[in-house]
Amino acid sequence: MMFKRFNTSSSTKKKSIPSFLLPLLFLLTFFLIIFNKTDYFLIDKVKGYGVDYLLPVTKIISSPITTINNLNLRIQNIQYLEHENLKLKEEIIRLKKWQTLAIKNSRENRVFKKLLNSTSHQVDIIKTAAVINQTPGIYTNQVTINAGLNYNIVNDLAVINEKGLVGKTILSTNSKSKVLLINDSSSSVPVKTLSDNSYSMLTGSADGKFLISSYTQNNKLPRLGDLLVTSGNAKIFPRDILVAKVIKVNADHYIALPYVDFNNLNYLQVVKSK
Amino acid sequence: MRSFLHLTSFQVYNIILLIIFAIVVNPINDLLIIYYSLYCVFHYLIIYLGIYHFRKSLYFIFFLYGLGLDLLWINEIGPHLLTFVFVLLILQFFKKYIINFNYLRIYFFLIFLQISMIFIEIFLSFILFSYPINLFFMIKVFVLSLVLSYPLFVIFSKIDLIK
Repeated sequence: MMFKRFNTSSSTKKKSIPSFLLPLLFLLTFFLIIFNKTDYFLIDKVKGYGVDYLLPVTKIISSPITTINNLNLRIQNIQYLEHENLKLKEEIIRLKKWQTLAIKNSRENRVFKKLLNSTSHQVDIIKTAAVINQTPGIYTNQVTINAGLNYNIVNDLAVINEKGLVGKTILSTNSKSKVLLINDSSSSVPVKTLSDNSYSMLTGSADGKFLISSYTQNNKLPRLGDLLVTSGNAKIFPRDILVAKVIKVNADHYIALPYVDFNNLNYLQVVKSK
Repeated sequence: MRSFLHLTSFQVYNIILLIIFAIVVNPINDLLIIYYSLYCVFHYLIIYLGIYHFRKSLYFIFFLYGLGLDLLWINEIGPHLLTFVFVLLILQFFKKYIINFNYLRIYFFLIFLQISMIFIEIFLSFILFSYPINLFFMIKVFVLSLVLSYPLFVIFSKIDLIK
């Protein structure tokens, strides 16, 4: 019955369409696609406008949904408050013990460094920024942060959080930047194992949950449970940033679980080597 | 039936389209299944507008939404834009045949076109930018499209009553 009604509604709304519009639209579409593949300056500008102007508008429109979701999360958090409180109290006691140990180790480290006359390898924090948008991971795994050229954030800078390596910047506009996450299949991170310093390259798996080795130096595979840190070879990622843990070793490649929880990215730090 | 704000059904569809677009490009990871559903609804709505509310402004609407999805979702230009424009072309050429279909045929045609559209977008993103084909997502889209199709068309038919 209702589908029969569809048929009548269409005929009343038929309007003449200028013949030049369709070819024009097609030309524009093909030009945009070709430019996307060949020209980076113009397309980066178009992408920049998309992030700078389109994203805030969509944020405003979708804000009621975000607010409802946040409210729901808040209610859930309140429900688990008592249980969480007890857990946190236990955690504080445990962490205080670790803190004492860390302070002791830090002092020892300083003394040893002085004795060895060594220099520390540290990173320069360019900016700590909040995540304002994250792609749902269907095509690509990217996040947008609320800092861009205004804080000297340019392309190809490493991005970390408290757990380890998150990704690298791929597009910077005046006030925002896009970050390609390391679990994206187009991402490539040079890493080394902590145990035997064997070098390899990691890319994201298709589902974005794991990291898969795409290259291993001398076909030397790590052992199960090995920790992977950035090797510093690509000049983008500073050395010794925690990346992942090896969870499966196959005949010609291995699978690693990233330390960063990509579903809970709130604040990120854009860094570079000192 | 007149709407509260005296909007035509075409305007109501466009408001819905804009809201869905805004939600789809700002996903919350806890509610991914809702976003997948809205992604399917968005495609249904685009096709529905192309068939039953075809007009000049649709060229810009298809173009802008295609470009918007490409820019905000995959940071590259191509898959959505190309698919939307091609669908518009197909609908323009075959509209006169489509509107003469019986209700069951038109129902299955809409489902087929919607699923094909999403699958083509996935394949195009693989061909143009080497993004992996997520089979699990494709299955989800297929199931969601089938489940959502009937209630959606009921809602659309109600919206069509607005003059």
